[in-house]
Amino acid sequence: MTKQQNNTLVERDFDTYLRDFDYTERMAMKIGLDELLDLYARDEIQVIDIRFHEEYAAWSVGIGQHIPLNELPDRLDELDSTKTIVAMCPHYDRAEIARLYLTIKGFSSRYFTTGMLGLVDHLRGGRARDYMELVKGKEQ
Amino acid sequence: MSKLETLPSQAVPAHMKDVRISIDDFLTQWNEGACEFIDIRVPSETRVWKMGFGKHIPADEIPEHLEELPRDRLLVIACPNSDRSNIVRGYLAAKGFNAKYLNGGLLGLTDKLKGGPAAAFNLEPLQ
Repeated sequence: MTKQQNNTLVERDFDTYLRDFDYTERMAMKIGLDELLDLYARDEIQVIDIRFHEEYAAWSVGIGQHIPLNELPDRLDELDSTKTIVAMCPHYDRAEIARLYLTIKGFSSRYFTTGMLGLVDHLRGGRARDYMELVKGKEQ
Repeated sequence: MSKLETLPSQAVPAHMKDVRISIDDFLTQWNEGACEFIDIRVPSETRVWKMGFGKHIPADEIPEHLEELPRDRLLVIACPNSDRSNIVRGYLAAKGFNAKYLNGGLLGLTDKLKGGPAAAFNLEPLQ
């Protein structure tokens, strides 16, 4: 697709991206709760929490890694270009900014429509126990 | 301070302010160092989602940790919503602590602690 053989990323032209935006892309750019949990467990996506440092310090989730949105341009080397990068924030507005930026930069990227608040609401009690057992050994 | 026998008398509208604390009031008191925060969820829950402040003591371990809890400050008890925290708050109140459960729970608190309110939040308030 957008990757060369040596895995260097090829940036997309923003004008072209918008002109090509269609119903397929409208769905493809999103990822919901069930799919995120499944693909994360299967190691097919890299999840990034793009909130500010103060927000991360106040509370954090045991899934994915923390790269604030305003540091993303300088930390692209921490992203695995062989995986789809899923951006998350409390709801989904900032995650979509990250997703768009990464897409233009040539990554495969989606944003988490459920948001981190929906994620923590879902992963409580027995579901928290079972899922963390399933993904044991991953980051954090 | 209330004992077990007096707990039911608090379960009337006029006394609920002594039983629970709103998220905004908690944030104010926390930033002033006026309260302690206790997350009473089970460990598998805090592995998924952890708060970066206060104490984490699972509800079923509370009876063994009473010595660590301050008696000179308000204890704010929290779980995802407010069912489990209310049970623990009742237990601590019966043990003579000044305890309230967090109305709105951790879900409400985490929703609040984003952007500006997160930046203004004092993770380690002056005691």
